Amino acid sequence: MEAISKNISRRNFIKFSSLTGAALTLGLYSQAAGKEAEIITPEAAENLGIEMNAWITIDTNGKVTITNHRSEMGQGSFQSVPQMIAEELEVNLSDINIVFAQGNNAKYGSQITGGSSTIRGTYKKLLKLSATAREMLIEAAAKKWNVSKAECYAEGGRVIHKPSGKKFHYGELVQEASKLEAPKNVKLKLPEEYKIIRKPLPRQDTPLKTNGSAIFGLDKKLPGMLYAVVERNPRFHGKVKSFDDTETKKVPGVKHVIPVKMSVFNTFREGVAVVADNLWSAMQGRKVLKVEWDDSGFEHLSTEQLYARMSDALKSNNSLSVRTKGDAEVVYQKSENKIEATYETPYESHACMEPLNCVAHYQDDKVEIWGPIQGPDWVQDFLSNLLSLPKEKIIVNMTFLGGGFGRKAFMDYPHEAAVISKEVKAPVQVVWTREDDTTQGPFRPGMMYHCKGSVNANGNIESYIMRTAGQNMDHQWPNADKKSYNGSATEGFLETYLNSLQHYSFSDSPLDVPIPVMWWRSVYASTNAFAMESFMDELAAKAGKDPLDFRRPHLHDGRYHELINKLEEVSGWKNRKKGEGYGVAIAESFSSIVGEVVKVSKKADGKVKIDKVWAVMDCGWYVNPDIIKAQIEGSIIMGLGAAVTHATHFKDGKAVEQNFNTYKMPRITDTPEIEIHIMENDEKAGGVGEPSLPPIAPALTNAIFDLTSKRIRKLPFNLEEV
Amino acid sequence: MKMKVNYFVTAAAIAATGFSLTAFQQKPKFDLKASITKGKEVYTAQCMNCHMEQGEGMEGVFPPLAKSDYLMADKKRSIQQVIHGVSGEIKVNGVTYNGDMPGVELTDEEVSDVLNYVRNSWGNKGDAVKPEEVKTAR
Amino acid sequence: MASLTLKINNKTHTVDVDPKMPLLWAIRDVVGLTGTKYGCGIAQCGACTVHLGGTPVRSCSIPVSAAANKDIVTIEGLSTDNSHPVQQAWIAEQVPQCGYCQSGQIMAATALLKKTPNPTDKDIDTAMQGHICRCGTYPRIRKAIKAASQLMNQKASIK
Repeated sequence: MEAISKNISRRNFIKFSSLTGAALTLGLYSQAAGKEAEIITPEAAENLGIEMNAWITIDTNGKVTITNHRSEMGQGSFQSVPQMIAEELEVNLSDINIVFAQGNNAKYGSQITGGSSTIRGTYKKLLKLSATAREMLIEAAAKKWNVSKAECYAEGGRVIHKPSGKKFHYGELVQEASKLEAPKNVKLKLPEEYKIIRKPLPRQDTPLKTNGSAIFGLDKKLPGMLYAVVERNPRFHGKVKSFDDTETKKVPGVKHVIPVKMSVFNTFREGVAVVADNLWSAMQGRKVLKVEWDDSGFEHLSTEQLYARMSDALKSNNSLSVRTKGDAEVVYQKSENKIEATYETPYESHACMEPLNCVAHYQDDKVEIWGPIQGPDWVQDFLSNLLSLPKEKIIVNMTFLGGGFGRKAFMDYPHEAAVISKEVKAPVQVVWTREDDTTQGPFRPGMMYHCKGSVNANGNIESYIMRTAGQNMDHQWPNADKKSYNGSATEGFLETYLNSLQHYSFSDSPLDVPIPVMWWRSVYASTNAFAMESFMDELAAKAGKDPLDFRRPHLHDGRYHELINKLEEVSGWKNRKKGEGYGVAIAESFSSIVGEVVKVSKKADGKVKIDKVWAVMDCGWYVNPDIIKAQIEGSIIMGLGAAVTHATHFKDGKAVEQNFNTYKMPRITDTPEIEIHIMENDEKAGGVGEPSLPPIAPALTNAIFDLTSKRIRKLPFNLEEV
Repeated sequence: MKMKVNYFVTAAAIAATGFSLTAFQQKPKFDLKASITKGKEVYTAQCMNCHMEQGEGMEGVFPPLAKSDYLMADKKRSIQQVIHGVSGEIKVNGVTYNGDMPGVELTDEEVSDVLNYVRNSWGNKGDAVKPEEVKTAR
Repeated sequence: MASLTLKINNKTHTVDVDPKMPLLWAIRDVVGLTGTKYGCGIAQCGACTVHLGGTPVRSCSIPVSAAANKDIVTIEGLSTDNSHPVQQAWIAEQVPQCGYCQSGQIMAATALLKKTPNPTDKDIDTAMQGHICRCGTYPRIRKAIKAASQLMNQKASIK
């Protein structure tokens, strides 16, 4: 056992070498042939070479190491960040090392992997600094050869002197190059010159994820590491009144039972940690732990009560204006061609496949963290405050993340691990069970929407009024102004609709209840779009127009017309057959626009089934079309789950669904055929990981309306019961 | 144009509902064979991973369903166990089991289907479990 | 505590553990093979799937004592160099996103193809529906299983 734990103890750094496997031999998949992961020691990693900049390190043998400053939670940063850098640096992706950065926003800028921001937030900077490094290497070569820089070019990790054919690899140049003054205003490649960007290149992390060698947070081991599980308050805010650990301490392997407090945004949560020399013992010890809670001083609400409050709020006169134009209410009241509708979306757990966990080693007023973390720099900043340690005494390492979806951007579980490690004076891995992960939140907030609208004689929208009721995530931050409106109330709505409408009003009634809520993939767009695009379909029906044609006069920008035309063409919208229902929804979020069409029909037993989904993504400038396709597929399936298979309910202040037997995830059998198209244009880069999720639920319910004339205004609903 | 289509669909839907209502009132004979076929799908998704493909279970760990005295002894108990799970000691074909089985959120129809499958496979033969029985036993 | 013999990937390990400890934790925390994952602990998600005596089982729900002296194969035993046709197909179709559930998916797919070398769409959905992937890689899992089947048939015909 000792030998094994040594072998697996420090897999922070990864390098790759080529592999020729069976597929290559058979000549089937040459382009996608895998590579074999190789682990290098941190000692070697510390000596990776000379830093050209924060992202690019080159050793004297010419080995290039690219640092990924963002987390890899499935969305593909481990491929797309190096893919961008390799293009302008002129290196082959197959010849490089990739390492995860530690938390350090002074060096890398923001590292928070959220808001679909990895590419759109950093591509201009990364392209420029890669091109700059390349130019410096060329200049160093020209100096060595004593030739003009114009006679030299870079390719495949080498600088070549064109007239003579002489070559230097980057390792022979890096020392001189790193001392040169960085040129300003380097010329970046035009998209038509790309050799690596915009190509569907296989991901560098795939081979690690097909043989079990990728190290996730839960796989991190340190010598002498203890394991902790924590019994936390099931109503989130209660305090530990007392606990009885008599039976727990009898469980072999249990070493410590200690009360813990951890910070979750604006609150501290209390619990009792059971720490053992193996995880199973800790879990067994927790089962026989008795904790008495003080749950006074806050409400213990049920789902019914939560939605009743939202419903009351929507009927009241109290709402905060978010965004208005013209005089929507007056126009609406005067209109004879108007409708209204109320929509409801559920609370949800994130349910990442890798439950929350974190390793911390607190020693000598220094703490080192390893875990599945979406924001290593955030963890550093927060722990610095919470533990009263200077930032440089907090080292935060990212492992691979088994899913994130927003949940792993919270700082509670690293804080918990650090606190326990400090207390027991040993490295500790805190592990949340699936039940902890599903029931403890913070959750996607449940929402209610009330929409009113009218259409004019031409069948165009003349007034549009949307009211939102639900918890405001911004109110979860410490010292938040609880009177502030939800700034994301229009998230999901096409920007061009706002330009085209003469009279609109968006307002919000915040709900102040003790249910912890926070970001969930695509955040408010994930629920707003259900109301917005369902209501768009209802307005189209009111106007007696085809849903696509109804939208067209409201698209004041060619980009949207191109998208809707593409959607119409690829889905065969106009050629639908009898017995088929088609529904469309288009949403804009994280600077990307996604349109989806769902086709439904009836099975032999009369129940509705989803036949196919078409998605058209306009994310502007992009890096890897295959990763985009994967993100769209995944977003559609995750969105379908929140529409038809799962929801989190509350009873007496506690989350009801605890594990996958009741929180039912979408499965392969729930997966329709998905066809994806990516728009090619010169727009700025938009997000990719989230924007395809919001349209799927309304596209589905709109399709069901087309097939059955039945409006579904509340999620989730059971497809079997339509 | 579109409104006319919708009107027609609505009319058709009303007609269809009326028809199925009549059908329900006539109480058609429960189709056990169809229920067993559907039940196999539920079994594969929810049960097979522990109770195994041929219902043989794993001795001492997962009790067998094939030729199981415990299973066939009490239909109502089985319904409740599928819905709410089982924990604590049970004796199946003379062997003691003490594990935890999670309950699964299934519709009345799905519970009836999966029980009809296990109660009529691998040498088991039992009378039909109808969705109405599941509803009452919940 | 009991001294048990585990035969994992053709290697014998003697472990001194609580016989009721689930096989999953013995594999991960005692033997140190971390490719097999914890997802739910109640046999609902499939992330912990290993082969026991050739059959895919949920290691989270089997006490380690029940697996003693039997042949256990984990993802690491399929091949560490990704040479197994199912791994090759998974790479070719670029299946994984976060990758956490994929060890279990691959072990299930391998068991399916051993029993059913040319699975239909329905066979694939039926065999894989016990495996949850939160990233939604299901469309690619379908494709990869077909590709693996093709690869295995080609290999067989070359032999």
